[in-house]
Amino acid sequence: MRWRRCCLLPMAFRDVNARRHIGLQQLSSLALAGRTLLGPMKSCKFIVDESTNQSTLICSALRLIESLDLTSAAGQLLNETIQAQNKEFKTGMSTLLFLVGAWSNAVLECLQQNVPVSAIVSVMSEGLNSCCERVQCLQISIHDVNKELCSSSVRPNTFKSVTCQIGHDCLLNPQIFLYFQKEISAPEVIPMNSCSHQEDDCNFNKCLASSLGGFGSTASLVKPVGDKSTSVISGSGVIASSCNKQKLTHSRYFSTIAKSRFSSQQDNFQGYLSGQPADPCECYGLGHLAMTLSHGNQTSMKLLQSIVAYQQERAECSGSSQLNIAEIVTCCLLGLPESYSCVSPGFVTLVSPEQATVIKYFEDKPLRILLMDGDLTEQYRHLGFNRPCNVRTILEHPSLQEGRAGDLWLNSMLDILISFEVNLVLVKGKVCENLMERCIANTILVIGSVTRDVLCAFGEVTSAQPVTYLTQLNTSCVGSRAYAELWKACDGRAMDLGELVPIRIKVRGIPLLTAVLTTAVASKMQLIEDQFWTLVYRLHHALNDKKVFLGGGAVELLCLSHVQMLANKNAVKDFHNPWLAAPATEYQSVVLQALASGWKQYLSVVMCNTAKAASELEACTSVDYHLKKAADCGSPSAYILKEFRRDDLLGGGFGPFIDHREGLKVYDNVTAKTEAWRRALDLVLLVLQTDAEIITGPKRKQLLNSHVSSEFMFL
Amino acid sequence: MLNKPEVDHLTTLILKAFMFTVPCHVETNAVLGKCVIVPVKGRRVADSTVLPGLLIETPEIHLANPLTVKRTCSNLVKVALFCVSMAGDLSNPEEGTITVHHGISLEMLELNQLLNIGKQLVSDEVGLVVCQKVIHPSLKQYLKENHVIVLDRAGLCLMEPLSQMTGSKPIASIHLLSPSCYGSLKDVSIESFASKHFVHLIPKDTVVCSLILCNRNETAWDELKRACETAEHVLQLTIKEPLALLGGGCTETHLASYIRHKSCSLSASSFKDMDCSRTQYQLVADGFCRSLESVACSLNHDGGEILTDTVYGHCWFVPSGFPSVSNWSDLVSKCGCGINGNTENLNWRLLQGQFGSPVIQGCPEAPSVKVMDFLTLDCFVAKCSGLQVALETANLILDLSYVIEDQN
Repeated sequence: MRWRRCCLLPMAFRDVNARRHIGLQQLSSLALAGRTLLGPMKSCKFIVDESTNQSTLICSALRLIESLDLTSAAGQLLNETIQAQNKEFKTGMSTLLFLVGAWSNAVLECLQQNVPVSAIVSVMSEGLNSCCERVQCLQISIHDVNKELCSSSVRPNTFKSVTCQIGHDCLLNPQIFLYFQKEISAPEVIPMNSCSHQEDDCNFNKCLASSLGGFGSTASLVKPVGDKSTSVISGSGVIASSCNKQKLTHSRYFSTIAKSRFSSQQDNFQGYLSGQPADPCECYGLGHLAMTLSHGNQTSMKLLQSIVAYQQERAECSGSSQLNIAEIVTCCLLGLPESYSCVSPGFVTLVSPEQATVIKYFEDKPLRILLMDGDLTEQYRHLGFNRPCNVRTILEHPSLQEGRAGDLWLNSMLDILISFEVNLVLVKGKVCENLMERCIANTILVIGSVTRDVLCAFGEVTSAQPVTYLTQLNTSCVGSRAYAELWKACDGRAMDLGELVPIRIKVRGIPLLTAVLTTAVASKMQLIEDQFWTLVYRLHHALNDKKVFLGGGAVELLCLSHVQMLANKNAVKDFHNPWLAAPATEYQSVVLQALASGWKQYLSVVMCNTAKAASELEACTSVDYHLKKAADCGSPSAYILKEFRRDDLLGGGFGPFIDHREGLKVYDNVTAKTEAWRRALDLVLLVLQTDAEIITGPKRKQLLNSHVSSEFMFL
Repeated sequence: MLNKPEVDHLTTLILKAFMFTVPCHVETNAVLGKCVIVPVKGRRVADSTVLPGLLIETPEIHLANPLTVKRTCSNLVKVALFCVSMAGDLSNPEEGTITVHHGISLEMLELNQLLNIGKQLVSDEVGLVVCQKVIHPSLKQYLKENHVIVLDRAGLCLMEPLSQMTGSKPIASIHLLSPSCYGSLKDVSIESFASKHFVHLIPKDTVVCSLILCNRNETAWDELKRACETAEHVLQLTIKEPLALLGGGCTETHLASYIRHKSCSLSASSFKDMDCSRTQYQLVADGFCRSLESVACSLNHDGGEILTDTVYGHCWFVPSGFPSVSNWSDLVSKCGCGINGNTENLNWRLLQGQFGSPVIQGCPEAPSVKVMDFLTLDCFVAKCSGLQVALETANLILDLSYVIEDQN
């Protein structure tokens, strides 16, 4: 031991930001990798791990960041930010990633021009606040989106109402119905030519039918109402004349009407009409809204529309009109073409061929169902149970008859299941394989790894109560009236996908819907599932927000125009720091331009990605053209609104709509988008304001001897 | 980073939460209640809110909503609060080995004991059972079947406020159950925030409240939580010692200029008492004052100038990028704490760069107390204690002669 004066202290990189701003550079380079993930036309990427030679296919900012090796502090913050956005919204992550990169670059440029950090921070955050306020005028309430569908295909000032119903027997039943009803009231009645009237109706219905082509290849039923018009009307609407029906039956879309269904559905339909709220636009709006939010993702949109139609039909009974996410599950089937994707009421899952054999015995028998919220193994104990380690069991009179302890458990569990006449067990966790075999032999179907939501859904309709141990079982815990069958694709074939067999469990009245996602390419599975959930959550958030943004770059264009106007005006509103007499006005213009550059890059990259522009230069020119027009017009928001209505903004709406026509606008989520902006800016400003990276731990000696040691200072 | 509306929202909430913790009926020894911060990460700050009573997160939301609660004749909900594990494992594993005959299950014995407790709870008309740790699923099932609401895994942090709020004594045994342990609540309901579901325990008198704190990401949330806790603590300190100091560096510069003034006007006899020369005394005093001023200086991160005025001795900040020779009165608007404006000529000078020749000045005046909208204030107790600890630590280090390092 030596005596000496000594200080043991951590060391730090001296003022990292003043020199190189490593963090901002890291953010910017990470974001660069996600450029082509922006907008509706995303380019997939392979991420190859050099060490294992494994590669993954990704098509979203979330999966990109997840797959990257993020060792830097800034990278970890970026990951955390993107994860948070995903957790909350499931959408807007590529916007977030892109803007993080764009604003990091912009901030670096400001720093090069010697703009003080505090000025960048205050002006940028105030600028973004101001933008968020400004773009409120581009919000459109969901109610109005629904109305748009009516007005887009109906000549103004006609006084009429069209109602149609599409009954669609998706796969198996219960039938999924979609109701459409349209009602437009004008203050005055204008005499009109009945011929053109018919034409309008026809167009409208064509449009509906084609936009709902997603209901699979099976026949769609479209039934115009009007033949019994006087009896079905409620409120102020007037039903369309009976000539609609003639016209409709001649339409190629509606030629496959199964006439037998008419009479049986008439009652149903009337009941529906009479229970209508004052505004009939609400009733078919979700499907349309889903379409406008899908940004060209046809497969997911069609699935979501089926879900919405089903849930709305149910909502007639329960009274809730929101999209219920907890009632949606996905089942990924590998090996089927993508066109087989569909929505099945009930719970579709994959089981082993042995388990599937049990189903054949069930036939159409109603099953007694048991729900278990833990594992079904001998060793399993509920969470928080500590196994005593100092207990020793002794056996005084060994006898051969008793058999092994494991068998004892197996036998008693099986006895319990048999005595309560349980046919179907859904287990949240793992299932003991021996027990599974014994159950199969006794025609009891046991399915493991079932999620909470599914258990709850079955609990609600079968009045089964989840138990942790089979010993807890009493008669009130067991539910009844469940049915199990092999899942069949839309062409009626039962599927045998090699090792695993898809089966479907249903209960009459169960709200649970399974979106069966199919693809023949294994690496696309995750991607398809992500896209599906993104769309589901977009609709969910739109309904929560009760409003949507005009899409297709309209919002970003207005932000850009607004910020540039602020920058040019120079000090419209002093972004004051109470301590400073001279506000940061001299830097304001520079910083606001930096903020604006983020949106300009966003717009031009989206235009390039969607092939609306051949190069970024061309895209920028186009953006500048619109900016100038907007400025000349006097009211940029009015200009943008007008161009959006004309579908003329930045080369038309985004997305490869097959039947791209009037009425099919593109919309974005309000909160998800503005939150993505805020999170992006928050992250950039947070990294900007960290002034040192303090290194502790054993690595510091290594660093001290390395070539960067000159950049250390001792604290 | 919060914007103005978010800061305002949060400020209101913190104040509201603090008001909840002040007891309504003060007797001789008033005790402040507690504000429990409930994390809801990934939400906007503006979604934060404050509720009286406590929230206990529960995954089992499929309790019927609205909850049907068993009430006593006085229309209150009887509460039993357990701080012992009810998981059904051997509760006190001690040294040594327990030997059990084959066929006897300790688990079953333990569970039977738990079910006995359950029976007593039901017969005592308990409406809500809260356990700090885990409750055995079978006991839960039994209690639920008897319409008792069961909440387990409440956590240690909630035990004290739970006991304070319900008036129940935490039960530490599953063998003895005294009816005097039970507490009561006014109501129980279900609240949902983001994707989380909570059971909301509503007390008769509010001294405990829950601040549901939201922020966009994890790191930012942790920071914000720290800030809220500090704010609550400052409020508590201030209610005990209702004094505040002018903030924004003004107290430090004012003190420094006061000490400078005092140290110049000391009589020769006092130096004799202290056994030092006037120069020595001046040097030490100047060092002390500069330390105080450096606290004020460190409030400025932008590299701008820091000024002090010779009238009030307050602290003023000039943005960076202006030449030092500027006319200061053109550049400053308000002092650090915000009590003085740039209205009169206050004779500004640079705070730094005065080494060697401390400016001899008059005694700094106290500013006339004006009702200002936005004053920056510091907590009196915290600041005084901070200064004292700093001084004592400095003295301790002065006395330190060696640090012994063990190199092995």
